Amino acid sequence: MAQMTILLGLGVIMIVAGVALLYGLKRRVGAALMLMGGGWIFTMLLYGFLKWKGLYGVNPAEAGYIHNIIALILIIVGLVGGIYWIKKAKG
Amino acid sequence: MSVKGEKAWVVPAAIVAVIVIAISVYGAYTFYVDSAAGRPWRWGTWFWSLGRSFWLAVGGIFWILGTIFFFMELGGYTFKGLKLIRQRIKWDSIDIAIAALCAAVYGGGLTVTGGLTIIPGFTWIRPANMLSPIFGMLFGIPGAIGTAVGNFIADSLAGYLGIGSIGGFVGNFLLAYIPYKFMKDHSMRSARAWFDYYLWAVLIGSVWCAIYISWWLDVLHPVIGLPYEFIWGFFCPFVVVNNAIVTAIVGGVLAYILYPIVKQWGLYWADRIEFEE
Repeated sequence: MAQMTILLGLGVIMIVAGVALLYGLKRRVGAALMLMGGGWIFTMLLYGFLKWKGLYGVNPAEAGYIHNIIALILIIVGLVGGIYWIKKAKG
Repeated sequence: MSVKGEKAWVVPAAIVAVIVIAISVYGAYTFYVDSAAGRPWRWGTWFWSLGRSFWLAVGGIFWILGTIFFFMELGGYTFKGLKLIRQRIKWDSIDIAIAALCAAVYGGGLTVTGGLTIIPGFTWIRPANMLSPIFGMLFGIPGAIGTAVGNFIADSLAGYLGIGSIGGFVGNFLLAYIPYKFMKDHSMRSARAWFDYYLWAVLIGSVWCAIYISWWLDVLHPVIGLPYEFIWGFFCPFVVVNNAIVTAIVGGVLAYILYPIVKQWGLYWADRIEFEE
């Protein structure tokens, strides 16, 4: 539990530092820190969800391949969303 | 490069490719055979025979250098040759989209094949491992950051999330960063590019990533509690082989296919970054 608190804390620190750099100091690298922090928080939420459902650390076959399904959704959303975003940004 | 210069790289490229593929296939083969026979993996035994003091010293160097590279690049500095220079990554919505795309595809890709077990309780087919050097080669730092975040997500889905994942975060950043930084040609359309790919992306990248994470797990032994023999005598060589095998066999071809598409879209890192000499 202490390890998860440290990880969650690091994620929050990254987001706060990212916001401060991007909006306070006008440094674009803040966006990268916010992305990393966002990724960490997303991961912690995923962990929390799996833990809550009793699926964390469970063999995929025993869990009805729910991890694989989440991963597949992640790939599709990431690919489609990423390409859409890039196309939109390029105009 | 001149035709003569290009020809000079054909033989070294072929040699290094054969050696690296042979090493990774042999590593996977011995892992399979030894595990099936119920005896210790011979690679692991050899790694462990070098001693913890050796790995602690060597790993420390890899860890310090890797961590410096990570923070240096994030801080907007890089090196050209031996010179430290400033670089300007835009970190606009395109760079953020690239990093997020890489994170989702890598994180999801590592987990989506979970359950396709090779040896129950030990490993499964992880074809997404080959994506990390490709993301670095094509997208540069945003690709490397995406790879790092993706590995973190995969740790959560696979049930391995913990303080050790911080090592995995930077270790996977390096897996993408090393080929990005040290390969001279990312197009995969020259013999020199293939030579560099097998040397930096497959061999050195895989070894560096494995040692980086293992060293982190070693120094965090009081917190994590993994036995030293497991870290250096199993985990470290396993990560080397697991990273190297698909990267060696499929990764180069995929990079060859993807390079012109990424270049045409204007997403290749060299077209988006500025250096201040």
